[in-house]
Amino acid sequence: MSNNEVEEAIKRIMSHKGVVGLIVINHEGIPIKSTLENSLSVQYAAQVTQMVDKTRSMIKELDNNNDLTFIRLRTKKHEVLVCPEKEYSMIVIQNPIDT
Amino acid sequence: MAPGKPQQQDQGKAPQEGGASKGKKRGKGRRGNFEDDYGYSRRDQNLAKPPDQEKLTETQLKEELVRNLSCVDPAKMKNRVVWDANEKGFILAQDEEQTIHMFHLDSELIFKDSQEEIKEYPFSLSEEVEDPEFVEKKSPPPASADPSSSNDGISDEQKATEEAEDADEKEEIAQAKEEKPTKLLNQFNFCERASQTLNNPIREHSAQTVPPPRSSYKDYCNAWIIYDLYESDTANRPKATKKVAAGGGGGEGEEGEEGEKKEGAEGEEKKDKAKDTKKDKEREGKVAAKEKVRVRKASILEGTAAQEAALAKSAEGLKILERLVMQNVFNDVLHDFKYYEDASDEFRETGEGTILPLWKFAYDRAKKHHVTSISWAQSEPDMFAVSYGSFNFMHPILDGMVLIWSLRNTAFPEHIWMAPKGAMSCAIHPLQDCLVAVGLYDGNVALLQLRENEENSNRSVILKNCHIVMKHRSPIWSVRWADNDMDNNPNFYSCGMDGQVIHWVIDPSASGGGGGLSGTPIATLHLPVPPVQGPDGTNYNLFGCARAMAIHPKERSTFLVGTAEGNIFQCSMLYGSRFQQIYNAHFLPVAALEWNYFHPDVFLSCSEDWTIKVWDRNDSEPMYVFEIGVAILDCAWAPYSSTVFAAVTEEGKTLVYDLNVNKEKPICCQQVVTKKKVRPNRIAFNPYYPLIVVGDDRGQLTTLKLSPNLRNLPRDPKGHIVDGEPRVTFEINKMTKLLSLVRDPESVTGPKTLTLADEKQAKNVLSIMGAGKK
Repeated sequence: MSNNEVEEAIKRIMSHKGVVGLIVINHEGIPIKSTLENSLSVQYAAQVTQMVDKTRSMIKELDNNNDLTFIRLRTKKHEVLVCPEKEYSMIVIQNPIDT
Repeated sequence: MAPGKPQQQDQGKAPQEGGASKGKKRGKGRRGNFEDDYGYSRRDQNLAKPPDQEKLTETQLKEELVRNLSCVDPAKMKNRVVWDANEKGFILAQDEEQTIHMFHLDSELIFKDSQEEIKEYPFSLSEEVEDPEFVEKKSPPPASADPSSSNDGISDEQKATEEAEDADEKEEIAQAKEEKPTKLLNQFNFCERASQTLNNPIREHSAQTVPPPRSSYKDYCNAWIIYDLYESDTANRPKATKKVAAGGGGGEGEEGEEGEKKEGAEGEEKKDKAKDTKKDKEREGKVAAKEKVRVRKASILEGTAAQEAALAKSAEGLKILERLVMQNVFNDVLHDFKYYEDASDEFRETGEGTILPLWKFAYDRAKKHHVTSISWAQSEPDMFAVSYGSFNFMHPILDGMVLIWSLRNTAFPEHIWMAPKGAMSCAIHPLQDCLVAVGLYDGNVALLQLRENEENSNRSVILKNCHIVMKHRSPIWSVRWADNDMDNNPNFYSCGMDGQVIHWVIDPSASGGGGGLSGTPIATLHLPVPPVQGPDGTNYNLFGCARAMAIHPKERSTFLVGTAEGNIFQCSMLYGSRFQQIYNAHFLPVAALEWNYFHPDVFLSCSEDWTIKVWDRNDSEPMYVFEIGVAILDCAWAPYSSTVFAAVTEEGKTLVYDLNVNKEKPICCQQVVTKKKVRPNRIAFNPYYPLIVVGDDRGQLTTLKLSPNLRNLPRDPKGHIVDGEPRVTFEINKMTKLLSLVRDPESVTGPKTLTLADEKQAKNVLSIMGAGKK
């Protein structure tokens, strides 16, 4: 994916119904791209990094050949989707649509 | 004084002490040089005397002078008088003490045998106490010296007199004395007792492990090193900014960096943001030396630019995320797709069913295109390829594309390939779903390979062999995959409007050009009409324009081709242009053809002449004819049943027929697209799910779920779904039954089939020619 496509993909995701924000964090846990304000991004980044590490260690411990693909965290107010990668992690906060 | 004395001594005596001495010559009365203890020798006696020293005689010299040290102050006044008022006269003053008491300690030691001891210690420690004299003294503690001395005298006398008489008494006393405790008493009556236990010897035992290997790393860090690094960093950054500036993604990078900017420079940065042009960014990168704060900001920007460039490489996560988001957005649709079964189907007596619209797929660039072909992937049940082109030959839209969609993401296709000309048909290889064959408007075929590109490790569409030697001279209406040939090379067939059927083989090792794709014409569709005379008198053999093609699922060398003239040719790959059978099927072009999945002899055809026909290939007349009244644009058999098929009409309706249930009317007739505005062009059944996809001429795809009545699966007496061999047999039997209902045994018209002899001859000819591989 070229840089353009990445931008386009991000815009597309943001345009879907219910999506509140998108954060891309690097391996250190610093947000490098975010559609939310900075303090909130940093908060999310810090919490998500810890959670991803904990989850990954849990999965690896249960089965060494397994690995984490993504995390869906449903809360009362919205849903947090985390997709961790080797160098980057992506977080999307979305409001689930009530029918 | 001290030096004076030895002098005298030496003169007087000769020291005769042995012992620790210098070890020099010693001896009595020996003359000569010897040293005394003080290290003086006689030689030194020749002292240097001052001239005015007093000369004394020998006797005077021997006189001993005694010096005493006393604490009397010689300078003190002796006769000090003081006036006393009482006496009214001078009296001798009291001498002040010339001593200062610096320390005073009461001693607890008493000289033994002294009177004090006797006073204080009636019981004494020493054994001499057993002396009878003492014993007597103890009873009355004597206070004065006189009584003690008198006692002494008395005791002496007594001793002398009593000795002989009271020898026993003494012993008794002595014994009594012994019995008395000889304890030392103190003020507290304290007695200490102690004992010591055995101390266990301590032994030490230890083991040492091999220490882990260590390597030490040293480095320096000071302000200059940091500065140098920053400088080199900013020097490298401008390359990254230029790339990003070209891509136009820097603007968002700036937005994202707002939080990270220093507060001091915020005013400036906001101003810069307002401009937000590419030039600005480049200028910023070059102007790195202007201000320190600006440099920092630019480097942050450029840092993110470099990061973004790297981010673009590993953006698989975005894809997954998009699917997740899609899942959320279409959560209810997903539930319907998986779980919703129309309960009202049970109550429909006539066995009717409904189709439930699920997702809609639309790509904004394909809005003006017609969906020309839909092909599901056999191995991945959620993936399908759609080709976009144009059926409108009056005003054709020249470009086209092939999109690979996934049910998981309805907003954006998984892969996009822009075709140089309209794509008229596409097909995904049944086994390797990474291969997609596309037939184009200009007669070319294209082969798409969805493969991971080594460069960015992402799946991308790599085109192979687009512009090889054109074999078709007109649009290709249909491409179909055949089984892999003997060398396991994938191959496919394409039929075009020029009436040719071409067989393409993908052989990477082939030496011919085109990167491994080579085509061989298999058949030419000669129309069963006599040659027509052209304007200049030459005879032309007319070719049928192939509109649809279907390869038999079991007999892989047989295929059907439908033409624009309404004929259907049953051909074999082995025979070339000689047809097994020709059916005069329709009056208008055949829109679609499909073999039945189960029954080997049955196929389906539909046409714009308002009819759908079910054929038995042994018959030149169709078995079932359905007059719809509207042009039928596409039809397809259901993969799960031999008697169910669906069709789309020009009006926008989808018809589903189940011949087992109702031989005349459709069990479902539903409007799927807006009437009169949109024409559904294509329909395709999902091989696994009860889903159909309808593509229309606005570039939209609608997925619909079939209700239970439409997909009645055979169940065994236990209630489980029959599968495998018995299922196939069941389906075949079903169809055979249906056919036998229609067929009139006597009036079967024999098809134009080739005899066995002809077959062999044809085979030989073809094998010599080397054409036509199975």
